[in-house]
Amino acid sequence: MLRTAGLLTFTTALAVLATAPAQALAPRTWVAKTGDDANPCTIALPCRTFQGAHDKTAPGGTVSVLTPGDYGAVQINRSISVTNDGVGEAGILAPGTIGAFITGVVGDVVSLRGLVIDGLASGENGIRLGRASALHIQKCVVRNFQGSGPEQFAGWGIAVLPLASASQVFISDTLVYNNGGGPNTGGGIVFIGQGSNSVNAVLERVRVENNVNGIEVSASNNPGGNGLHVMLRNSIVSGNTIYGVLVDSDPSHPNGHLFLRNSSVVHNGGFGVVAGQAGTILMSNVTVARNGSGLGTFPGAQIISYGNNEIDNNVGADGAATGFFAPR
Amino acid sequence: MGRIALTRTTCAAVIVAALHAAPARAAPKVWVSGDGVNSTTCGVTSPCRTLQQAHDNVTAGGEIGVIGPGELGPLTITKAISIVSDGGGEASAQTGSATGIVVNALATDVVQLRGLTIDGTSQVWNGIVFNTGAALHLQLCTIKNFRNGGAFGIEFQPANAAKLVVSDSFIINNGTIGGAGIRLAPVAGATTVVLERTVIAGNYAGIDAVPLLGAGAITMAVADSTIAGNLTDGILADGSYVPVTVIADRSRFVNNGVGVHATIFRAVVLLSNSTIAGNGTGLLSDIFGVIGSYGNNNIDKNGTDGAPTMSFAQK
Repeated sequence: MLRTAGLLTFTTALAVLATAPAQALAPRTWVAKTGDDANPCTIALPCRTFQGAHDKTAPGGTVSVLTPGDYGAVQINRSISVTNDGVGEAGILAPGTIGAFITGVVGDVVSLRGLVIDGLASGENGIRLGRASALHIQKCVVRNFQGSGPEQFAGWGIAVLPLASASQVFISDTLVYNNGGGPNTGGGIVFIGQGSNSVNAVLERVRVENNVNGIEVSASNNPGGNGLHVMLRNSIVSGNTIYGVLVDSDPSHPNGHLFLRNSSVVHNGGFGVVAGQAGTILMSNVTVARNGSGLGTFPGAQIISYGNNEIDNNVGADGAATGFFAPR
Repeated sequence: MGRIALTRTTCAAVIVAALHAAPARAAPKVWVSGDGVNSTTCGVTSPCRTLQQAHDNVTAGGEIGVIGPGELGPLTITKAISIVSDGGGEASAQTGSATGIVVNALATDVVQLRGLTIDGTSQVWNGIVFNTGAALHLQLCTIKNFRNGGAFGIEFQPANAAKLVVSDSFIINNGTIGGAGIRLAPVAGATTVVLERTVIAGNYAGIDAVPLLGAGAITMAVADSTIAGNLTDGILADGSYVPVTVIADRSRFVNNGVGVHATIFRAVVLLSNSTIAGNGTGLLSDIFGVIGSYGNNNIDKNGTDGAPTMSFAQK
């Protein structure tokens, strides 16, 4: 075992030697408002931007925040954590662009914690997953992404559009508000399955408020994949202009799923909960109230209730579940 | 004469005790910072650089406060201690070359860790290894990226009766071929575990409760927690040798290889108000492992849902 570990270390050392840039990448780097990207990003000589620190961080490492400040948009192309543990506001201002654009490789794990990501009304996406195996978003604020292009799906606060392989997404304690690319387009959070790429996501204590649309789960371009399975729990989807949550699928492969539990979908302008084309929604202990309409179901879609939801007092029709499952 | 002798004895005892309690300036509260300098004081105006130096200079039962963010190094704990980082920037026990935190304390010692990041930076080794001690309390901690084949975020293997209490924490991306977020493998004595508002995600296995021959029983409560996206079992209760009882309330076991796995008849998992969905197999009971339900869980949309083996009534 020891010999194996030694061999591994030796092999790793060889690999590092073979690929080392002029300056070795560090497992941990730091940013501060007084930093400079010419620095080595150490705690004594921190960098000024997330991108500057990212570029000097080894895969698997962490960019950590020393002081409050704005640290600029970042394109992430490796396994990395960007962490602010309560030093004050750590911002990414991203007018006209993407706040954190994840374009790594299959196997990468990316974590964003404690960041305030602001599109200043013209940003395209706050956080966009292009390629990575897992994305963890904790304690972030994503707001004011109202750009209309040129990126496809511009105007969504968080856009999960994996280009390769399966992706796991975990979002907790996060606020997504005032996003949307047009009067009907964009909104809070979108999950798109493209080709055969699947997405498994868990959203917990997330607030999606005051966007154009709330949350969309779309498997309509995902005919061959394992589908999209999104779980939303202990969360609020409120005050969005059009719908609260929407799921759709390819009719020949109805594999878009959204599971709502212990959450409220209220005060949205259109439908609160919509199962679009061939989509499936399961609901348990959910409040759907004061939306333009409550539940909506398109042909081939289903909304399954555990019989314990409050679906009342919507402005128009409350709507009804298409089926019931028994708790077990 | 007798009084003088007594005084001398007392003095000698005090001196001997003082010598044994060196370093002389051990304090009940010490401080660390990423820009500190190691010393024997670790005072608030002269914080130490490493958790180990601070640990070695704090009295048993004392506290290490994190005064500035930094990478504070791996640590071996040998006494009752609290380490507290209350949001003054990231306090990391990052390690590319050792176990993050090892606990080798006395069987009566309570250890508390609050607000720490323990990061394996995609390298080998384990996050926390608990060998001896009365209790380990983790609050607001992140343990991640211990990517050795069989690496564990927390390896809890006490040689004495012990408690593990984890709240508001994230245990993610540990293990590749083997390994787990948490492995409960007590060697001796009963083990009590509480998980609350904790996420265990993207590990090889989520929680492996696998007591060894000669250990006491494991009793575990899981509440308001998420066990998601682990490659194999979300939670495995293995009753090979002693009873393993897991009570899960208001939690979700989703998108794992197997959501809940009880194996061998001494293993009992009781589920209430929980969601088991999106797993390859939702509930798996083999060799008479027991999965009990209070009849109020959502067990749907798994590849194979499985079914509870026993029903329990709410009272």
